[in-house]
Amino acid sequence: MSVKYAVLGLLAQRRGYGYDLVQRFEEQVGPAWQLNAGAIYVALDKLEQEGLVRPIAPLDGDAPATRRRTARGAPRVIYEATPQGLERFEDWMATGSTMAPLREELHLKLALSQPHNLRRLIELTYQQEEACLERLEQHLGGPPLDELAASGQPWPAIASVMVRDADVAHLQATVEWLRRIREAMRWLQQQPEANPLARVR
Amino acid sequence: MTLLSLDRATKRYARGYREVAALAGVDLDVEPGDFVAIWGASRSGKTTLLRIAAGIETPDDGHVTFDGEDLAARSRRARARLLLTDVGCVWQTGRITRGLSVLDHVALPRFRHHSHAQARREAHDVLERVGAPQAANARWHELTDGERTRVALAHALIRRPRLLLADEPTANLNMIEREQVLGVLRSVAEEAGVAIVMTAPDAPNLLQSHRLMSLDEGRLVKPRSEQRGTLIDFPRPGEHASHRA
Repeated sequence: MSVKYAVLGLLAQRRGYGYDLVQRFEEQVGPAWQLNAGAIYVALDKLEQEGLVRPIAPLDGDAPATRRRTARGAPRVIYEATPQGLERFEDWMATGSTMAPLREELHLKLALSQPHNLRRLIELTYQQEEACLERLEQHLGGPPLDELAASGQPWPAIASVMVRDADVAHLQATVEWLRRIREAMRWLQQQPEANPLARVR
Repeated sequence: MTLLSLDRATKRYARGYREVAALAGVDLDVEPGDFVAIWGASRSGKTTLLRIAAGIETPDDGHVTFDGEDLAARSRRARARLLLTDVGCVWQTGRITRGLSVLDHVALPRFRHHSHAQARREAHDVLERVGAPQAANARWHELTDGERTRVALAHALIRRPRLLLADEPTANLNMIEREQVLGVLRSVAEEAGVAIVMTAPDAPNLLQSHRLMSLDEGRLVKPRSEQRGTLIDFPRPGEHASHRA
């Protein structure tokens, strides 16, 4: 349930309303979570039930008067973190983080392939590599980490580049893995008697 | 207009009794001002690709065109001249000319047609540009890896090439030096319109370029933005032996 804590963390930085939180999440964390407004509101409801955040009256300077109401005319609810919320957020920051299991469609295809699939599987590794390059392309021209750190940028800018670097590192590892399995599959293809796929059944 | 064009360039070499493809049908078009980064492991064919682009080697199949002219149609001598005028290279095995100071080594290509004072002034400028003015009066053995790379880059740039080929120019550099060298390459492409083809060992090295692709066992893998028209089924390494037999 990390979205809940992310919302709590955003409110620990400063108060905000739903749509504002969606935008700040996207800015600071990046698009990979594909978080929609719905998920933020669900998290806010849960946090409010647990007494970790509470709605407050809008203050001057929270939002321009035109943005104090939603598009439908309902008043915007502005939330802030409660003292218990801040404490819970600090606890979460201090505990170890879970890791998502690595699940790729290509892994399923590898696991379930038949001897006649080998040639095609090799081609699929090229397609996967192309997809990795496309994702790397999205990071072209971004500021390098050390430059940001040296230029005294604010932490959120540095942190978002660190998160981007995680994607670059993952893509690099994936491409290197694709090259390795491609080489292994080619080798198997060249010696049919040693092809373990032929012995699957 | 396309400055450098590789059209299904293929290069094979013998490994024992087998023939191996160092390049397998590589297509690549490079325009002036392009900064192309090619990511490949060692033995992926990276250096062969650069040597073929430089005209140092000729492909066994396919064509390499520089400025609209097929390199294979040029004499060996004419191809060598290209390396003195239009094509600059930075190789990993870079060295400086024995007995020369760094400044004179960088200035060397200009000595022939310019006064020594003028050539040295230019060498100073180009060393400044690549961020190594302090290297000018040093000896080769006194330079750090980062400075050596910059000196090699300066030596290549002083001729004002239209195409710069750089083989892992960021090898042995720390992260800060790496980003500085990549930044110099990027500005050379963007400000001077030099076309650059650089090879790189890993992903972080690609991110300052304009275009990225990957080379594995001689096959160039490109993102969709690089693919024009229909996909060609490239020959696979190892399949060439039967074609030739």
